[in-house]
Amino acid sequence: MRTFEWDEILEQDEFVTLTQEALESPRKQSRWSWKRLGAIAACAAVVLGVLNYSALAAGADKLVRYLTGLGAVEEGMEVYVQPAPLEWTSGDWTYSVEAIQYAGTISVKVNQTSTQNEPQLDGGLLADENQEGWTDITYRLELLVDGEALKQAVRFMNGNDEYNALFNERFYGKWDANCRLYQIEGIEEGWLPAEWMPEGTRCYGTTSMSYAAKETPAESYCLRASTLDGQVLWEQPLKLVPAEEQSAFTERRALPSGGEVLILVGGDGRSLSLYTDRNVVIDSLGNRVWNVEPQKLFFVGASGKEYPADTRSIFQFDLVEYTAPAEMEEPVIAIRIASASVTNALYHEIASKFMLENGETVRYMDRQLVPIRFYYEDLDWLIELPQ
Amino acid sequence: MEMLWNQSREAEAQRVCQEYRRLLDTVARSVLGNRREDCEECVQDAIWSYVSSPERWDPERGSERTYLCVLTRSRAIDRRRQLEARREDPLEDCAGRLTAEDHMERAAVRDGLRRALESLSPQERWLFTLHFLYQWPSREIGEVLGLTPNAVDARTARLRKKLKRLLALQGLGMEKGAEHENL
Repeated sequence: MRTFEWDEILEQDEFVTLTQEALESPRKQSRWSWKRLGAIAACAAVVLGVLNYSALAAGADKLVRYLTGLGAVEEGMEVYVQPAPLEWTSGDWTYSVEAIQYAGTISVKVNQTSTQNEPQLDGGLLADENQEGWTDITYRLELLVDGEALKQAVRFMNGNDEYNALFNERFYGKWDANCRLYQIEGIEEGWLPAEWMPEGTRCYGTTSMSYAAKETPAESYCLRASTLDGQVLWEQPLKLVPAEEQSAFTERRALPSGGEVLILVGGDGRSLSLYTDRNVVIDSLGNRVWNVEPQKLFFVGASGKEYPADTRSIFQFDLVEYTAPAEMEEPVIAIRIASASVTNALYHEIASKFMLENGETVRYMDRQLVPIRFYYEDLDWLIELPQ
Repeated sequence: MEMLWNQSREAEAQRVCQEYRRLLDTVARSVLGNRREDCEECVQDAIWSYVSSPERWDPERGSERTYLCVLTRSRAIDRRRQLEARREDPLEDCAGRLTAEDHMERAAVRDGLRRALESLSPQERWLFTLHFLYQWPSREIGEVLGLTPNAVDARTARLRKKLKRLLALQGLGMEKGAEHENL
């Protein structure tokens, strides 16, 4: 009898295809967070006042705000959210749209669900391929302002605006919205929890696109879906308004690996976010704190009971907020960060080379920024809230 | 020119780090367990390899995220084999292995596995990929799929039974792996 590792047998292409399929599977977490975001904005949460907080480390001159439902955001970083959820029904499908604008990029996600086992596609829309259990469709998804379509963009965040602009320019072009529609064999056996889909859902699909926002933010947009040959499938108005700020209780904590993190707790004590200034050098080696991510975080009630936090994140914008779970009904008196991982960015010098057009090889010492991660299992930070 | 090129690669490395480091950490840890230094080196190596030779990524074959996962896992597997060869620290395998009779040709084993995988639903294939190929712990899979770790374990147990049945039809078997340690 012989034994094989699974990927030892698979061809490289098959391995890549399986990975691609798994990584592009629908996620629950971000959809949940954006629904909450829309609901919060729609309720016009009481704004307790805008309070700015000085950022970390000597010499830093940055202010940090706590945005409702989003967490810590640097002053000057413009964020716009939907004031109300956008949902409608057309034919066999119910659509919902989640949108957010962050630092010049508008991210739009279109979710569609159906209570039919074999729902009809929108008129004119063709399925690329029919497989057992799912169907691929492709359509054009445009975001328009005053009739003009915004450029589609790849978004990523670093401190180099020129590089960002160059990167977006390279990738400019009409990207089609690829959507994979999945059939659910039995909702009890489904891979996505029934609680975040409308009752009776039998099929679902989701697609995401990003757009470069105009310099002057618009409040009203038009989201248009059309076939690849231009037939309009649907159009919906989309509103984005500035994200609300709330007051926050703050504490600074020194990190065991060096540097500091700013901890912000939302006004009602039921949410927490962290901020690190990645531009601040913390030692003579050029080390910088890159990211602090709690692994175990608890909200402590007045009874002394600890409740594990829910995590809400908008991954592509690096926005993470930790919230008290819904079942916690008592007031929060403290928050405990039991363990965390800290990623530092450290410059390394290594011997490197590149080839000139004439074939000559040039060798040089390259200075690279590499991430190094530290795990602190027994961090045990306790943030006591003022009563 | 050299300075601009360095800055460009550095900026690119930063971008890749920010977008994917958590995912790649998970990929490395699922192969190497709690060997943190080895995991960090594999992730750094994969990112640097990608940034140094971005032309090797073919978008037609898969997304950037997929490519980075494959790079990272490849390095983690190599590191694991080096460690096992040096017998420094035996690493446990949680996902089991495929088994076949000695007389079966490799191509026949591959075809058999392919047929078995084609019989799975897309959701079952996701779980196969994340649990068996990448050996993610239940907690991480649960975060992706929005399920509790216990729900993931229940589905994994059902998938294992189904996979054994499908593989048996192809004359193949499945060796059970060790229990996975939650990271």
